[in-house]
Amino acid sequence: MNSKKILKINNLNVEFFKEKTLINFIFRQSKKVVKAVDDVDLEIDEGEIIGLVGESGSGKSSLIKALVGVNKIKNGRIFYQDQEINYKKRDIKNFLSKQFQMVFQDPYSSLNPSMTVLNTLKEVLKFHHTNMNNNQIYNKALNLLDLVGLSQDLIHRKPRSLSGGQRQRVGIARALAVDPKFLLLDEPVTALDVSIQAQILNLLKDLNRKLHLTMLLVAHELSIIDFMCSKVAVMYLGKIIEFGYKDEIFNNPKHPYTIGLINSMPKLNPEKRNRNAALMGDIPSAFQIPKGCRFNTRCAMTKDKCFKIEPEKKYINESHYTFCHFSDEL
Amino acid sequence: MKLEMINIIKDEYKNFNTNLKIGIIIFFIILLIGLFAPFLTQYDPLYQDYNSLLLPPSFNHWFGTDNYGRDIFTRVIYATRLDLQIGFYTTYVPLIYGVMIGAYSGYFGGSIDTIMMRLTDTAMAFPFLILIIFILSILGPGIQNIYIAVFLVAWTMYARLIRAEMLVEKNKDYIVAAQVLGFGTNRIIFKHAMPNIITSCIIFSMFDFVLNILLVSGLSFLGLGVQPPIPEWGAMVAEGRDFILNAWWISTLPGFFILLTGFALCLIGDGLSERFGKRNQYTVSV
Amino acid sequence: MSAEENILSIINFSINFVTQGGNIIANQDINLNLRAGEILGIVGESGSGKTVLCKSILKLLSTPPANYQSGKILFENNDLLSQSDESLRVIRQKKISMIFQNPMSAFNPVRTVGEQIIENLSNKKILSKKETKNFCIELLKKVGISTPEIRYSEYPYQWSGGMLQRAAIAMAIRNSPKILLADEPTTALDVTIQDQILALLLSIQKTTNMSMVLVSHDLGVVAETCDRIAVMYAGRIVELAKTKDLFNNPQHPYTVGLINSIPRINSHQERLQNIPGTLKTFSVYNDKCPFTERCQYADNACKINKVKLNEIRKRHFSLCLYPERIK
Repeated sequence: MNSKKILKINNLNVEFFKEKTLINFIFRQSKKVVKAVDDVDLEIDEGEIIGLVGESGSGKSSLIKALVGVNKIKNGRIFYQDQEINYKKRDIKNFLSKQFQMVFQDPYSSLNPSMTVLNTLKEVLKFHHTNMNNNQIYNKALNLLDLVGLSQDLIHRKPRSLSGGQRQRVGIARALAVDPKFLLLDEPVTALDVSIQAQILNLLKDLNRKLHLTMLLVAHELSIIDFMCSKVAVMYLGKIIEFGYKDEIFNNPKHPYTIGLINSMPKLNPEKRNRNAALMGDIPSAFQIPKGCRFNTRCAMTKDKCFKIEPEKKYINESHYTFCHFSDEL
Repeated sequence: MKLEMINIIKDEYKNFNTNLKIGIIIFFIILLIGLFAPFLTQYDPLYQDYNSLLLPPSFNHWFGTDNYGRDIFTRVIYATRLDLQIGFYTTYVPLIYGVMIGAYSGYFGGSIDTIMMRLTDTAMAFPFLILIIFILSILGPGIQNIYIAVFLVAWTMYARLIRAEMLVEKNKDYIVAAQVLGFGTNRIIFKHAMPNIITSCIIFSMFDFVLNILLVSGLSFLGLGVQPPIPEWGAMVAEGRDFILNAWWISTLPGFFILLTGFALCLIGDGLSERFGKRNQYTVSV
Repeated sequence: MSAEENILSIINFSINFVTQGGNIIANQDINLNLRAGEILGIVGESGSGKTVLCKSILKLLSTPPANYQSGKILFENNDLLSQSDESLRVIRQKKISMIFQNPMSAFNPVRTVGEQIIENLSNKKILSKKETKNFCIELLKKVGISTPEIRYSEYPYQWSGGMLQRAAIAMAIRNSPKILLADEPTTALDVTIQDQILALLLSIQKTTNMSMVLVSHDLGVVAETCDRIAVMYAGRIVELAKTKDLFNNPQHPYTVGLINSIPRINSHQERLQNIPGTLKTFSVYNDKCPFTERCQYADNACKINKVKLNEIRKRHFSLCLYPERIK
């Protein structure tokens, strides 16, 4: 399958630091740095939906915000349609905003509370499609609403009169208004009820097919990833610790964290009443990433090596890799 | 479009609470009195009738006359114009650039924020009244100079208010979305963020309006503000202080108008904060 | 199934909210029993009324805007809704405890965690400082906090969400209550931590034989922890059954819809089934079925006839008039 690679990320690093206070300055303490995204590689084919799974502190939000230019990239190279993107260019945002768009997690804060649905869409359309006149813009706005399954009598409503699912659809419509090629979704259905989740996920799948829209879907629920995505990347404390086709990952996981994640998932199986928790311990703070393998504080099968040396990328097969010293024993 | 606006205002009006309604009505009446001042009285505010000195309130002179024979009622309602104008300029002009400074400061953070905030601290460090008196002693008394003095220092509160709100707002998803959509910074700050964070400033400005009128009244009382014979409420209160015992109406009635305006504005401020205050809205989660 | 086995009985309970936009019927004709030593799950989406029901048990809703319409909540032969403030206080302290959704906001940020757990431990027992401290440390150990001697004097900001929820559980079980109410205790937590907290709740329940009510919007969570599940929709209980029966043989179209809309690993679905339409906040159904507009099996009869909870099979109740239509 020789699908064109729409996005290639090499060695991406995103860092945040705590600002130096006067005390730090006096005592000559160095800035505390958080490696939110640590040396990440990722390749996405055109038209694909790729899943990014991780819990809090995994860096998944930082990663996608770096791709759209909101977060500063420390170093790393990003290739879009085989051409490198220079994030330091002055008007890079202009380019990025036309190709990449984002859908946010919280439907309650992702829309401007003082703008009506119509105005939200009109603004984006006017800004990006300067050659369209008012009539065309109005019609395109209605088309977008139709595309995401919203009825036209919502156009003069403000977000506070819309339900969570409706707001999320408006957010999707807004993102589609620029005709992007690539959609980044930051936990788009986490804040929604189950029955609404199903509607939105179906919609996203339809859009992917209809518009040939590539998507990077961040979620923390594996079942959503399984429904939507073809490939999965599992993130932990800033690193992609496992990556592969979803069937591989779910049926043949090769990293203890992935296994723990799969086993922690509540399943609709009433037989599983008496069991211990799949994964013990807490996620370490990103300021203090453990030495050696970053998962060693919670892993059940740690050996000496795990505390000293950080694992290297190990390919299980052509498309499936993991970062575990002892993945063969899983 | 116009029909939309009217409908929106009608809808909003239904939601107005009592405080707001009463406050607006009173203020509106005062405003009308000021606007139609020449039609409400046949006297001239500066005309001195030596046959009618210190007359108590009567049918001819509703508020009586002062020691120069000037009709108090006329002077009060002409003063309304001046005081409302003063309140408006001293409140809303600093609001404009105070809000801009605070908005940029909060949005950009970093060194811009630090510089702006230190500037704000400097302006706030001066005791307001003393600074104004100092400036007036250099420039001389008069309304124009009061404006200059106020414009130099009155903006800080607005800068602080907006900056605080902006710090919270800029992390909200819809602002990030606007950035991702490629919108320019000014558009994001003023078109997207501002409508959602300006409320506390508007509410504060109501109280600021009152305080500014009182400030100018106070300065006029001290002789630093409006110079006689221009009618201004505070100045009139000052002029009447020698006659309090035998001609109470000279000081009291202008003072009453100060009170009434202040009261109306406070009611509006309270009503607005009830209506728009975030802490007052409760959500019922079922 | 005798009445004596029921530790908590909710009888014909209705409550509504008076808001600017209209009247919201939050709970209508709720009839529910909690047996001693059982874990009862209440599952529903937003607008179902599950949180309101849970909070009403301890009378935690402020009465405007809430409005208790009718019904009783019997605990130890007393109606909780008509208790005095003082007796309610004693019940909350010793008999019925609650843990909430957001562990970060359950603690006062300016006081240490240890202080808050042992605060007002009991107004009758007079323990020395050392004894209370030890008690607290034992309690923290019980809920799985490592090195409790050090953690005891830390402030909430130093603890993670999962740890704070454990501390909240510790606070709730310190007086060995008869009933623990858990209102979406794991919704705000990561999935691996959720797993830990649920395992903890199960183990506590096993050792103390405490009764539990677990409210959640996540069917998976209640499936793995509860003995019986009540499914709520639009303020009413639409189905009530033992967990196994509910999933193997759902008797209400809403339950069916809910189960089907959940994506499952390795199911290779092309589309997720979903329940069409939405729940409208201010609708009034009176005694009629609230689900007809969205139900795939509904017909005209459903729109006219009154509904009540019927026992379809042994201890399996449904609000549906025609559950036989469900295939």
